[in-house]
Amino acid sequence: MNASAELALHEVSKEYLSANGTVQALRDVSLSIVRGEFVAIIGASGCGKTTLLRLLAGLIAPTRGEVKVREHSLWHSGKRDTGAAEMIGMVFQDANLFPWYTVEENIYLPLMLQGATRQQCLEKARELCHLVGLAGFERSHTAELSGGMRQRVAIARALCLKPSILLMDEPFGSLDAMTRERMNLELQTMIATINATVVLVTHSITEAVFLADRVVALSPRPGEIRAIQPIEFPRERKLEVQADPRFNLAVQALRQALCVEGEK
Amino acid sequence: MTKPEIGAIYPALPAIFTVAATLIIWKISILFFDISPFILPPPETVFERLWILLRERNFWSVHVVTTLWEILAGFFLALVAGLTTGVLFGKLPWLERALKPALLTLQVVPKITLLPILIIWTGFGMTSKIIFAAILSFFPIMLNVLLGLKSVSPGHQEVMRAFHAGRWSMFRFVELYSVLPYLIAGMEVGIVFAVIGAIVGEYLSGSEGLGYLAVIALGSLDMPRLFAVLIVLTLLSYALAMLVHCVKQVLIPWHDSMR
Repeated sequence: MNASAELALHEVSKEYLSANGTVQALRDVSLSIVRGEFVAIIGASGCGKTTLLRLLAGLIAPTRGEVKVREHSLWHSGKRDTGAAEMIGMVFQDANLFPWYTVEENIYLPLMLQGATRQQCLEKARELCHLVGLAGFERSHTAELSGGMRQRVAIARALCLKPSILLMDEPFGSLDAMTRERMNLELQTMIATINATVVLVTHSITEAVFLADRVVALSPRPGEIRAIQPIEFPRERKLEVQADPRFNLAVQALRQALCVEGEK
Repeated sequence: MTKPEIGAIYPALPAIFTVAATLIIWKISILFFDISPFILPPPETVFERLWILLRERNFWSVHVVTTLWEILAGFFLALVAGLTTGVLFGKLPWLERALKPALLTLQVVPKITLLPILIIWTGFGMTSKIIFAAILSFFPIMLNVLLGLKSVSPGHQEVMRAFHAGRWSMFRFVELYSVLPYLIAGMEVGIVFAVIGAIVGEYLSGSEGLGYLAVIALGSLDMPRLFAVLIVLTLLSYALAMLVHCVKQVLIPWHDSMR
């Protein structure tokens, strides 16, 4: 275990109660993520990827084990440590924008919840719109936005409280392939600008390899870590790295790790 | 200059055509089937009586004002009570469990049978009609608010939780807005029910209001006058529905239904 771990999971298991008894979503997952690292988590549908991310976000408590943010446990006897949780920004699968607010209102809502003045809110929203490529759309209504634009708003909103950790749950899953590629390129720039630690859940192996420093492959339910693949290319990457033989080797290795377990 | 005028008139044309066609069919069917004016008076007689009715001394100052006040007061009471009850039930499940049987009883009882009781309790004046109109329009409003609170998007709730929003923030920034389209839908049904409540109340008792005028016209078998009252009531009801529609445009311009 690295002492300077930004995020750490210690033998974390998560069980859900369902009509047919308990369902084990995750089993004994241990993972340590250092400051500034980009980790991607891949796995089949229902393997507990999203559960893992929700555990990291402190949205749910682990059944066993411990989730730590900068050596602070997220949960103390059933209560969430809001201080530790404040370092985390989360982007969900659906943008989940509030249609009754404009783009800028959506973005600065977290800041407003903290009691910031209107002036501070507007300044922050302008800054973030610029960062995520929404400059000029501050006053737009969310229904007028395309899928890619909506996720930009969701990312800006997640970054509103200056989190040092950004958690993303299949943020580009519903976008078309072209938009997705562009978002991947722009995401790298955004992250470099704010210097955040990122955990990205995705079902696209190539997206994971393209973006991450390390890719974690989860087995089908109950999710366990099957493989951790380091990706050597320096960030920020250009689309050309996808033609590199080493890129394909990494993709191949991960595909095998996922498939072999699937056939068992 | 002429272009916008044509554009403004054009959308109304189909509606004007429908009204004209109705009047023509009305008139022709009387001539063609030889219908007695006691059953269906011809349109020109009805409009003549309507014109007389509109110029009667007490028509506006007493009858229209009385009915309108009963409707609006009843509707406003229902709005306040429905919104409050709906929100309380939505936020406090134990309260809903405690009071649901009583409200369910009030909901399923044929409400018209409450009217004589209300009259005995509150007299022949406006109060009994106001309360009856309020009871009728309370349920659609309350049930819609309750449904709205229970239909808040889980995604929106999760976003708010990720930002450590408390219960009040959740209500103020998310639930309140999520409920508004449901509240409006309840109001759209509720205003029509309030009109029914006031009119039926006037049918049964009292000496003022448009419902009273209809009953008197019925007593003297004055069909043209009955139709004239009906037309006034329809227009009144229509104006109130438009009022709710205006509220809708102000409160939820962002909603999908407004596009």
